[in-house]
Amino acid sequence: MRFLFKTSYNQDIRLFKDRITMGWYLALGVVLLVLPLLLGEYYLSQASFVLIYAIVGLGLMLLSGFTGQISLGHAAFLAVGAYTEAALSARGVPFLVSLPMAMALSAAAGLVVGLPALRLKGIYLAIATLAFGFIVEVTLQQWESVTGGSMGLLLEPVTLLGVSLDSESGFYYLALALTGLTLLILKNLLRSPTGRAFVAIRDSEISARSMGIGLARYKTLAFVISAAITGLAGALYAHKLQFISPEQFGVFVSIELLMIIVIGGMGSLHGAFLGALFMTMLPEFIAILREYLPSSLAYQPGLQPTIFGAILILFVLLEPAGLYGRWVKVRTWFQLFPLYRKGLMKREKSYVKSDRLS
Amino acid sequence: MLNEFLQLILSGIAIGCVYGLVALGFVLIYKATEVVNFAQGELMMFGAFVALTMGGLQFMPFWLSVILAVLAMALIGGAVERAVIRPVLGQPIFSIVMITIGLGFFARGLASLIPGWGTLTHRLPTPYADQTVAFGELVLSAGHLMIILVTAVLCVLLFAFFRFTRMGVAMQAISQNQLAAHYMGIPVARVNTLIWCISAAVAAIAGILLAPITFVHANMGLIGLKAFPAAVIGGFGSIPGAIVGGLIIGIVEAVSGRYLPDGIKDVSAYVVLLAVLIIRPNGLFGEKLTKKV
Amino acid sequence: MALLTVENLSMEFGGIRAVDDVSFRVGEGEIFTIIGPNGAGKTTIFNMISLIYRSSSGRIRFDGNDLSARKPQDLTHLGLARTFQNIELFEHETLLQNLLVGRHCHARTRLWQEMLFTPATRRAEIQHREAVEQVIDLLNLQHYRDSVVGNLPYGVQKLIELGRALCARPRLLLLDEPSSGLNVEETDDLSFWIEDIRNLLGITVVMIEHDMRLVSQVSDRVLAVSNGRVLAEGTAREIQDNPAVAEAYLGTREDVA
Repeated sequence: MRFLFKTSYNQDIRLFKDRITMGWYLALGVVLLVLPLLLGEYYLSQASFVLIYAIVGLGLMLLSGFTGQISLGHAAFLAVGAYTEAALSARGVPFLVSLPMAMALSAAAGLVVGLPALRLKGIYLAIATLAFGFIVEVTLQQWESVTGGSMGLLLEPVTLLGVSLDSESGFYYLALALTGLTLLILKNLLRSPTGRAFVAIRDSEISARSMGIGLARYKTLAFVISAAITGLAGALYAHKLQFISPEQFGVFVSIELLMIIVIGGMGSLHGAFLGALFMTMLPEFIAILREYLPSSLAYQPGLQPTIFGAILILFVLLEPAGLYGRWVKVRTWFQLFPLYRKGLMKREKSYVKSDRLS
Repeated sequence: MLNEFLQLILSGIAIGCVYGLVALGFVLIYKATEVVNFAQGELMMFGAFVALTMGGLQFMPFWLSVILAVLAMALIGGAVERAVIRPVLGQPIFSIVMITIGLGFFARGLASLIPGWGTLTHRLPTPYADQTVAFGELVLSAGHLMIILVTAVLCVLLFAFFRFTRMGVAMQAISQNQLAAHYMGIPVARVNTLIWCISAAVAAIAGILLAPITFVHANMGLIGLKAFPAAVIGGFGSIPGAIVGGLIIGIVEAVSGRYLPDGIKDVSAYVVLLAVLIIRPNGLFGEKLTKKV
Repeated sequence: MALLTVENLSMEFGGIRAVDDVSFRVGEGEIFTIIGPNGAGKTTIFNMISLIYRSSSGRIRFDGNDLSARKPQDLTHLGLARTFQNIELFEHETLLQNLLVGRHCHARTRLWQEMLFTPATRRAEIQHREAVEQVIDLLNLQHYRDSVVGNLPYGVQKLIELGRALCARPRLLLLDEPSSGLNVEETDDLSFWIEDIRNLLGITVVMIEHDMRLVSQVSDRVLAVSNGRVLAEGTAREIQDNPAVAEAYLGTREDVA
């Protein structure tokens, strides 16, 4: 077990706990940088998807995992980012301009949802965000002049500063850079007063307010930042697929985005990445699974939702802390060996904590 | 003209009753345990399918297959609560939301995998299916009428149950304070299971009532998503509110489907929902959610 | 001029007058205690001062500011902080994180500075940490610094609640039943802390208490309320000898017989 003797405040504040941790992450960074040399085209493409989903995961994690605001319609923000990017790049707007604009428009959408959401608590907020998601989905289908309706929109690969990033590795590096940037900004936020305010709101609104945190201001801020990050992912997503249509942003997609943070582990940035990895690999596993199933089952379209549903249920039942939680437990087991006790991470059994006036 | 309008309203009321019944199922569960069952629509869908399967058996009269389907769903509802919901009570609301969403996915996928059910659309043979009833100049489909009648009867029964039976009063106690109810000797866990049984049974009835109109298919449960606005509009803790909410949504949808441009019908429920929430964040009959410090 | 002035404060909850025409003043540097039987409206008074409830009538003035024009989140910026009777901590976070939130009203960094974690932000963070460490030292909470608050014993949680309010460097501290749930030793420690808070930190303390020993040890003045109304006001000694208070609180000789 490694003990950390801290001798300065900076040690508490800085990004990495100690040199060894920093070393591990640097190694990871190196691996990520040379990944295009290690993986073939297909898997590199999948890696890019993992990065895109990780960005969404980070955005959603900020809103739901750290600020405690349930968002069941998050795909709507993804859609705003994607469609804005599609519309702008089709009109020749350079990527360096269209991307911030896509983010800005998503942020505005976040404002639209966030402001009325201030008065809504718990389940009402969840359903309101669900409603918002539906409305956006139908709007995308019906507003054909702008969105092309069900026919969708086509996009060209990203052209950054005159260089066309039409190769897998080119796109991958772009996604990697943007993911890293997003992660850094979030980490910075979380170790500052604003990040602490978000977490305070999640854990106790009433005492957050009594400590001087304006609920309206910070909840709205959380929505706006989360939406902007998700919009960024949407813009990347649009360029990756080079074709977008309303079906890709429906309620089921919102649920899949939520699965990223639930499976990954709510309340941790690592969770966003682990969840993104899992959700990207899941269809692969299902495809492999199909080969082993009798043909009556294997080719049913219903197989995917069944498996998704089962996984979601199993994770909430058995692994509520998500993949990251499991990783922490495993790591602790190794660190404390042989003194690890089963009850170490056990949750206290609690009765239903009522949200209502008692 | 007027007749057409009245007929439209009536069909809206009928669909609204179905929404109301599904919303009722939500509210029952929510009132007791603050769990929102996003799989309520799927319970309804399963109920319709079970009735279909039963009805397909030889020598099975319609009314018997209905009763058996309702009982079967009650059992399934209780089993689900025992297996999936009870272990997660006490966890934050987010986890519970996700688990019921997962349940919905699972049920929907499962239904399409079951041989004989699959992805096809089936017709549930009901004795009243193609009949119509005439009130003067008004011609109503028996299916619609049946829905309205059964909903009314069910509401009266449930009202009586909660008011006058011991179990009903126990359920009310639990919905207000679980710990206190526990200390009073009420078997909270068992009552929770029973609530899910009742809720699933109500969902089954809703499914059977809906079957003549939308036919039976694996995606039937998506109507459940419309029941959410109904439950919210009525105020999530209120049983009569759920029915009223359902009726409002049903009528709004019927009218907007007829008089407003394409596609608006699908979102009208949600637009109304958002409008209501903006004006009254706790729904029309909802209770004010404040924490006592 | 008094730091806190409460004039004719009343609160009605649908026909029930929980607080009825309560007035009092608290001077700077005082330790002022409100006592009364359960249900007398003490916490309601606090909730009105901290703007969680809007009073039905009456006025509250703090440091010259009329509080009816303010929102709950403005209070720490004005210099008023409170603790809660049932602990309202951020239970998934460490003690340190909890206390740091107490510093929120002193945060001057802007959003973009935080996102980029500029040197100014780093300097501000170190300042916040130093301020928090002072409170940790005062309350001897060092070993719990990195523990998740939800897992800590009740007595410690109560202290953290106090600590968090102190981190806001208020001019006036509202303590809602600080000794409830504490044993005799912990209550003794508490009385020293309350005095330290006033003597060393210069903070005015208004508290609700039931423990008469603690009340008579630390209070400068005591306000007794019952059924939402003021019964008496004076020193701890005067209040204890007051027959009306004794009757409301302790019952009369006839009740015992």
